Amino acid sequence: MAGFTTRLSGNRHARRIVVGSLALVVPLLIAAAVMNALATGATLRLCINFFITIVVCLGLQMFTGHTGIVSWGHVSFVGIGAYVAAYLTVPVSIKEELFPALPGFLMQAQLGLAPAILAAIVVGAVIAFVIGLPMSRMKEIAWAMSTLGLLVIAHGIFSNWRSMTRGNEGVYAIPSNVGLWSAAAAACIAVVAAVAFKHSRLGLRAQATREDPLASQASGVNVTRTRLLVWIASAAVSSAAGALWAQYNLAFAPSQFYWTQVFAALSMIVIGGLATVSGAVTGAAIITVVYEILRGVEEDGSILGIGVPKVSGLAQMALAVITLLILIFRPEGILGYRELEEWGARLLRRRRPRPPGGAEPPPDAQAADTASEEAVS
Amino acid sequence: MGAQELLQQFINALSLGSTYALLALGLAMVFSVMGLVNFAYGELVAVTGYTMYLLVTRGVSWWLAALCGIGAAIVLSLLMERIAFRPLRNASFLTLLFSSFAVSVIIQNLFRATVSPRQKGVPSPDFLSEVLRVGPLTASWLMVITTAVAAASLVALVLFLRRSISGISMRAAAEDFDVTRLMGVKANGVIALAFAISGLLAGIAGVLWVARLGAVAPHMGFVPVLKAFIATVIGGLGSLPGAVFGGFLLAFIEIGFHVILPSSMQPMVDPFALLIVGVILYFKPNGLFGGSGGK
Amino acid sequence: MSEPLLQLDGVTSGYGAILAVRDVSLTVNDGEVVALLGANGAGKSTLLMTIAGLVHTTSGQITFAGQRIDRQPPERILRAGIALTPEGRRVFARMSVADNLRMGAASRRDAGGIAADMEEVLELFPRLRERLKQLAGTLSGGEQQMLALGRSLMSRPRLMLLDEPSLGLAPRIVAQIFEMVQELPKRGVTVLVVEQNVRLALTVATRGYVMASGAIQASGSAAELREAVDVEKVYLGTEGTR
Repeated sequence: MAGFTTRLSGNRHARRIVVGSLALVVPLLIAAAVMNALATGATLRLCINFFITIVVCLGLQMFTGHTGIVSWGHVSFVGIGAYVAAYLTVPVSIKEELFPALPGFLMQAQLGLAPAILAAIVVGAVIAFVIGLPMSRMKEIAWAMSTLGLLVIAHGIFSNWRSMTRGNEGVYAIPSNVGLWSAAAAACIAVVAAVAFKHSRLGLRAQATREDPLASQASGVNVTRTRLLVWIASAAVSSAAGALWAQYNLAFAPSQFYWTQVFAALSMIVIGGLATVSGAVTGAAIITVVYEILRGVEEDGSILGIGVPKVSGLAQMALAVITLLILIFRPEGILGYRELEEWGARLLRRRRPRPPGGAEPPPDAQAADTASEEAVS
Repeated sequence: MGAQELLQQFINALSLGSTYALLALGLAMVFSVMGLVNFAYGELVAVTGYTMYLLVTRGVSWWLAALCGIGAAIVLSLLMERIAFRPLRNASFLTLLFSSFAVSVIIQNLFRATVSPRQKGVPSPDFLSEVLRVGPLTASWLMVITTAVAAASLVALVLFLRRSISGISMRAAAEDFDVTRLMGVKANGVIALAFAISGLLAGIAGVLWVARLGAVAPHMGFVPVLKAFIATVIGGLGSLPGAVFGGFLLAFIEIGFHVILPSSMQPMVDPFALLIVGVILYFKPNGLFGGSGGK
Repeated sequence: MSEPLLQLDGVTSGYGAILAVRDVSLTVNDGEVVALLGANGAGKSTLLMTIAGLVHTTSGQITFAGQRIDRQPPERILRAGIALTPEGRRVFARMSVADNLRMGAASRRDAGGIAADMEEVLELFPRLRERLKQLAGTLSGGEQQMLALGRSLMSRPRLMLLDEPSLGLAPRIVAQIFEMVQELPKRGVTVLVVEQNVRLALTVATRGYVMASGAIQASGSAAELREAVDVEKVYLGTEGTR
């Protein structure tokens, strides 16, 4: 892992972040522009939810992708973010009815999109810190088990603390503060943050712990602290996603932060590729499209006009089958260990004519890092 | 709360613990040999239930349906191994865990699609709900049978693992898989056997589970696998005695909270129990019987 | 001169990109004790594991009793008649001595024969009889080595591959073990033994090979090897008992 001990030269470092971000941000913005011009109704909704899903996936990818530990619990942070947003944005008069136990200053608060998201980030980070502290000492399996506990406990609290969450009946009356461009902007900001995180010292240290916890510890990486910090950062992103989601979907219930969503989010990053930011985005894109198509089939009972028996749960089943196939045949995900821009660079290099003598053009630093990542995998 | 009440709850915990112990054992069996935490294990319990539902509602005797249910669990377990897990034999823990999750989702949706998305009732023989009285204490026949069946299964399993060469091979494989192959024991055979036993235990637990719940639903497998997972983690992943102990301990913790919490907070029994589990894990990250160090 | 029992031709194997064994060719004839010598890291253990099927060959052929066995899984190779006693013993520490020996016979179905062989092994290693019910992990190093050897014998092998049997053991025990190794051909078992203890190995072996950096550097009769100065050079300081 030469990358994490060698000091990266400032220029190259910044260049990587810029290139990596642009590789994803540009297509996203183009998609937003296209949607803005052409799409209406259901398609538009799908696109906006897709942007929000990207943020959810990135939060999860920041943790599971970098540390190699499955987290069942990040969806709970999405839920926490949603509830925080609800507390801060629902009109005061309705709030009294929904959340009788809400403390005074929250009851009177009425904030906009950005403050709500920021508040969600802060609350998510604090909660993550508190529960992360005892977890950070644990080994990988115990970590995963704890995130499972978090999911079940959080769901239990959401469902049962009626005076603060309205239990299983859920929350409504959240103002619609999110539109196409705010969602797109949020997705882009999340992408930049995730890319910067991946190339940051913390991100590199985390990846070292993923590959070989013992070796990285021997090299001086404080595994406990690294995991805790990554946990907090990723939880913050997930909470932001929740706040965003709440202010678009306007109503929710605890069941929306449970197994179905856990499976969907994990599938997306696994299919796209756990290790990369592009993987999370690509996975989210693919799954969103495939799921929509399949849901259409499930509901209408037809593919392209051909009758197909109406199968309940077809979409989910197909998604699971695809996930399983990827895990068997390409466990590193569709993009593997390379970000989109690295794939692009590879393709360009292949096209370049070989100089006489058959020597390959010298690989640049990006490729060298790719090679070292491959060797480590 | 008097001694009698305490004793009654103890009996309840014993019966619940028996079910959990069986479930935990089945899960631990596969983990010890293959390092796989099989999330789809819950579907083995579910398929037992669904088989019983399909047969009992068509007039088949409950006992026969129960036997067929157990058979179905064994078959499904072997199928899972062959189709989904054998190609992943050497994959990372993360990949295995998530694959089993995917398999679980697939099977759950198969239930949804082939039978019904809704809950379906499964009638049990009347005598099971009849209550035995010993002095002031009561226990339903189902509870008694649950405890007896679990005890018998445990004894049988121990004998199998101790005396038969297949059982000894399984213990060897759990300890050192490569060296076991050096002894001429077929890798595929040992793993298939582990899955078969896992299915058997899940099936037995499934019959008891469905008798208790009285119904089946597509997502019914989730609770059993969660309990099994928690129990094995408490006991120490890979330790069979640990799994049994973990099952009983979890039952006692749950019944404990059931007793302590007021009725308004009853739905919080599970979250509180998990909190205690978290505390246990904090002090003993490898479980109570898991030793120290390692994964 | 009949066909060799074990023949390796140009065998190359290793772990991923690291080739621990390069283009190795050797033979072992029926009834011989052949020594495989070399310093740490020379590839000797990997070679034995390759023969036993735990490591895949990248190229080359391994023939045993006329059959190709490269690319076969370890289970098949044991059943063909080759038993590997791994480096470091690797007994099943959480199982009893008796169960360990039973595992050695796991591939066999003849209950009578197994019982008889168990008796023979316990005659050979009386210390094991005393500790029959004890957990293998509680045995001393020497006893564990005896157990590992006994376990291998329980499969009635034609060829035994011994990986560093003297490692970490006191001289007296080592002598006992090598005495037994010498007797093995009389019981119909051919031996290929990997050893760092050159002197000791060459007292029991009739022939030997010297490995370094994954390849065979020298070979010859035990007498020839004993006299060759180069053999000592290859080992730098491992001459004599550990």
